[in-house]
Amino acid sequence: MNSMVDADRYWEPDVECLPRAELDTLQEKKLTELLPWAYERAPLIRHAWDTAGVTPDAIGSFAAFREQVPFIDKDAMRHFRDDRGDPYGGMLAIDLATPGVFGAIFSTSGTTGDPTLAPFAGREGPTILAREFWELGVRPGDTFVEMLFTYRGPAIHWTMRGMGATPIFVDHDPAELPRLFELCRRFQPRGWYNLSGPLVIALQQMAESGVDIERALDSFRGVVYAGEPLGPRARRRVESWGLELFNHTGVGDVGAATECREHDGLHVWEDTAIIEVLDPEGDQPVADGERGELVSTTLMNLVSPLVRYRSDDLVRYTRERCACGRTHGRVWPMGRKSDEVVVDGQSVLPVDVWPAVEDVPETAAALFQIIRPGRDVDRLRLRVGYTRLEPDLRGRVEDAVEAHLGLRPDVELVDQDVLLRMGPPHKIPRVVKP
Amino acid sequence: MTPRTVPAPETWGIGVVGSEAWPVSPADIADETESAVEHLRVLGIRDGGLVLIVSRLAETIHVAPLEMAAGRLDARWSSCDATEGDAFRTASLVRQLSPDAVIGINEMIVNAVPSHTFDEVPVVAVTDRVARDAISSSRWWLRLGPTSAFECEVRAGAHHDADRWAVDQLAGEIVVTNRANRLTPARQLPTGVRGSVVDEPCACGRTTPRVLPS
Repeated sequence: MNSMVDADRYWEPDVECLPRAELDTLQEKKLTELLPWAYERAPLIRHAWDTAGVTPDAIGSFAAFREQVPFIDKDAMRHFRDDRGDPYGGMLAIDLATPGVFGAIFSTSGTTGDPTLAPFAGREGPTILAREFWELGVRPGDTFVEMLFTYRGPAIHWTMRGMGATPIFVDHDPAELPRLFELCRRFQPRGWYNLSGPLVIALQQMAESGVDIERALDSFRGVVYAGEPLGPRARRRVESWGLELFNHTGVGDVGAATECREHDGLHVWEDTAIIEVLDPEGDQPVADGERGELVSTTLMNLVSPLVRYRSDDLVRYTRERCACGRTHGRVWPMGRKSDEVVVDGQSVLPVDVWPAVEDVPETAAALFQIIRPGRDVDRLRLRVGYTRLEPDLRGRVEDAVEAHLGLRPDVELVDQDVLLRMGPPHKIPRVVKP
Repeated sequence: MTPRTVPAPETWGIGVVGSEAWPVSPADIADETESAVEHLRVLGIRDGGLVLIVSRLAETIHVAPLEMAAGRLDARWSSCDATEGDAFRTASLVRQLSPDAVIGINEMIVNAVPSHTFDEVPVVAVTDRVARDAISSSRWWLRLGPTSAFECEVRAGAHHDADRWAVDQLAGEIVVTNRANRLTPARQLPTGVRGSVVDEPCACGRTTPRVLPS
């Protein structure tokens, strides 16, 4: 990172560092503007509120919002879609065919069922992601690699150009890495969005075959990592190539969050969303920093205005000011609530298993799956991918997991290439049925 | 809270043509969007219609003009990846959205989805011979260097924008040359498309040359 970047750290300093009290006031103002819009135009919101006997004029404060406004979730959207024949699950609040509106329909990846439609309307220009790309060190005149694992519309390259940078489009495929190296030699890109687990595995294999990865990728100031968690061992491996990684995640289908250079949680932009973290089995907030379910409310998406959306995502969250100076909350993703298994009363998520599997050299790529017949199980069952099968490998993996979790698992070993073939290009299914 | 403004980059983006990096300018994309408006009209996209575009990220310099053209027509668009792993999403979106046209179907996708997936789609534009043979009445979408060509309803060769691009055949391969200014010029650029150039008028009424893949 050079001094020019350090001296000009924020894309929107007056928003990113807005004092907490002013941020709260801004949120409340935006919320009271959004709620009538959502109620009047989004059929699922109206249905949920009418069922609960709530109207927007009764919600004049955060306290009333938290006490009275009903939750929605993905199942509610799917039921609404199936029952009413509404492909948008009751969450489309504008006519996408309105003349002059750049209307598009994106969709979720379909990891947990039929892809959910995500209507979009906008005009070309930088999105909120500019705050995150700027923090990476990307500046006007730079080039920036867009290597998104599934194409989700123009927002990424709109943002890059809106920052004065030029996107380089590369398929998210390990086979494309040699081409990426060539592009790096020619165009010296400063940012990369994004790296994923399978690409890290491929880079490691190239490094072992003699490719100088550090030299090939030496132009980057920052690399966004996304798709699934990154274990500490994998992170150290990537950093040994001279790359500074910035973890990135979606936030309750209302936005995204990315690490800053403090690498102490992922920044959520609270001028664009209200984040609540609640008891996963109830509706009460957990203490700041405790694990809970993320519940999101958009403050800017008038096309599909999610309000109190139970995301199924388990997170830790804090509103403490970050050392970088930003005042917005920070999130630590833990996994999906529906991925949790409870073994003899102990909660286990993939993120808990990760460091243990990484610790065994033959399974260091952390390609594993939790076999989940249901939430409550008598014994933890894992399918773990290996690079080289040794007679004592199963026992060593079981020992490592037991040392980390205090639970002895049943481990099934498979060639890691078998697991890699199961996934989309950026990840594998981490929780599967027997 | 005034948003920061910075000068727009002179290069719109860097895509790929064949195996070559291919920088394009904002003017190139605007020009290709003009061509794409006509392509989408020929595919039957109208005000309020919907087109599903199936592509790879590296094809963005070909796809962005189609997206913007949909907007110009006051139509909507959706997208999926042209990969085996994302084929299920193509099938799902066809079922959920009932698009007026699907663009970009290839061998991997037809091999991964049920054979009836595209039966109710009015127009399907394909990118390879296997998909062409698998989907009745499908039309070609050819990437001719950095530009595109689409077949009309006659299905007798793909039309390109002849005001902006010249096409020729060299040793059985289609090559293209830019007639309009482009950031990265193309002079008889090999396209990887094997076929011939048909110089006779099309039954649709257009008189410009067409590309007929072999």
